[in-house]
Amino acid sequence: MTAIGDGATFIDVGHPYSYDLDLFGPFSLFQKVNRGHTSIGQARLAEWLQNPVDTASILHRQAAAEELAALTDWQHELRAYGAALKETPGQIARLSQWLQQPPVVVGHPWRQLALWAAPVLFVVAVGLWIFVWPWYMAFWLLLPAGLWLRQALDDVQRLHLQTGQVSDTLRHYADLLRQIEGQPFSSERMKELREQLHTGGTPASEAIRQLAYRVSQLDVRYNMFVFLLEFSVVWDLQQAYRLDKWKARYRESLPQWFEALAEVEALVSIGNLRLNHPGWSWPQVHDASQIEAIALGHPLIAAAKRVSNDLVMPTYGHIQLLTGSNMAGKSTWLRTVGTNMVLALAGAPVCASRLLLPQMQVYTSMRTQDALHESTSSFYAELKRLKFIIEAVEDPTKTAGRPVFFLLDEILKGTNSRDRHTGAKALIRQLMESNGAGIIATHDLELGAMEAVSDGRIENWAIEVAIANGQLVFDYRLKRGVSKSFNATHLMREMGIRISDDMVAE
Amino acid sequence: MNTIPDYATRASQFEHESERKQRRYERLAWMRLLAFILLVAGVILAWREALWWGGLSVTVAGIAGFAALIRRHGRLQEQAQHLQRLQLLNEYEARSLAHNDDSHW
Repeated sequence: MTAIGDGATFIDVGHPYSYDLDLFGPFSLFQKVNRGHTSIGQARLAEWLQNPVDTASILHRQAAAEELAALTDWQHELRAYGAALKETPGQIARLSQWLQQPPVVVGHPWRQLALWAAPVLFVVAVGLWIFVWPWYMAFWLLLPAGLWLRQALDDVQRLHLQTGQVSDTLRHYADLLRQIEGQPFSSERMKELREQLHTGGTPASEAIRQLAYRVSQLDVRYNMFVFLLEFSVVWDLQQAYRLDKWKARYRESLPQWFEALAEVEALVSIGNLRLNHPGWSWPQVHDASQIEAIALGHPLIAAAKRVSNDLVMPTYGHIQLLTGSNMAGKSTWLRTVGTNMVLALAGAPVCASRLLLPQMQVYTSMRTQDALHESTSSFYAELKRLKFIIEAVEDPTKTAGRPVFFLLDEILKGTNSRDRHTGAKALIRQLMESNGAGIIATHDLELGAMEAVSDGRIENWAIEVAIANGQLVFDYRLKRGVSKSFNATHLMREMGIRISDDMVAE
Repeated sequence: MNTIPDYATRASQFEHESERKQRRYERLAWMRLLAFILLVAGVILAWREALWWGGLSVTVAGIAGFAALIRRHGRLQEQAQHLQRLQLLNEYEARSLAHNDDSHW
């Protein structure tokens, strides 16, 4: 039985947001959402999380997922068939390559002649051997079969390389497709996808089962006694011919069937998320440059521990500056906003009682790291990341016209306090002048002064931490203004750094 | 609004059904062995005691019947495994809701 993947193969540190928002890997959003077992279904869900989609598609996905959420038994059956799958990487890609290859037998007159001439020669040879000739004379009649096979060997080898050992995977794909074909749907998208499985004239599950059988017959080559079949009926060519005929009939349909299966699996994942979280809501995408969220929480934090906050802000030339003590939850809030936007723009429900947002492209800079192999320091890595974001904000062609919403955590942390302050101030001004919008978390409290001279385009927000009876008390609530609490000294003392009160007073 | 299924109860139902199928599968394994012995004995007897067409008929019918039994046996195993997978995925959902998303199956 296969495990549900955590999507670690989709980790991409260069992506605008996926690495910073923990979209893939252990304890990731993908792991929470994904319920697909096929490589194509998982890749489709990953693609949805990595790329925001247009509003019409969001609505279609929402309707389909809402329908699938209600079909618990059906989606569990589908997933149980998927769990039986033991797909190895690259199988489907190799099969797709095979679709593009020219036929091995059809169109080659000598090979087509061999299909019936070789068995005839074999029967004649056996007859002559029994009744007339000694065996070594009859053996000469098998020579043409050997020559035909030799002549086609390279093509057959390539064919087998592309289709070999995929039959078991295809049988399970056929089970999944049959499950989809047998279910009437009411949502527009699910109806379209089900229709797509009948494009070849035969149900997709049936045609793929045939392909699985054909491929398994070519796998007979692995058998040590296959030479008997090769010299009697040119087995390789017979199977290649059947595969040629299958391909000629279904070449156009197979990619569509895989597309449909991938999308259904991704929709089942979203439907399951909806089913398991009835308190979450479907986001609404509107045309106004404004984001409004009520009770927005982090999807990966357990409901019992989760603290939700509201968010209302323009998404055109507007920045929220978030200050707070260490461990107050600033980074978590940035990820809360980011992951919910990603879910919303992928067509999934969000961890909020209400979310209204425009079409946007999220960009983040939160987890920049040095890279020894690139001779890059962590500061330089962050500068490169900021350049990446500035370019996206200033050049709409880089985001297909989508306004950028950025989430920046502790900008320019790798340099001295004076340069950091100067740089951060300039960056905020530049992003605002380019009509970018986003949230910037910082420890630099002096940046809070920018609100007063921003004509309302910068807002100060804070998450405070209290110290009661020598213990830190976190409430993770957003409050208007600049942070007034400091806990770093307390934390450092707890970790064994001896800081006297005199030193603090200095 | 949908309500969250009781995954733990569902898992236990599937576990029960899967075990029931598995027991049937194991019983049929013994029947299969018995059928094979009877088939061999029947074929030998038929060829020895009856005319050639009688022997041939028993052989063909016996092999066809035995093949059907094997197919049925295989189907039972598939059903038991399918039910077990349903049990595991419901257990996974139950753990997931308890916020142990790391628990793979």
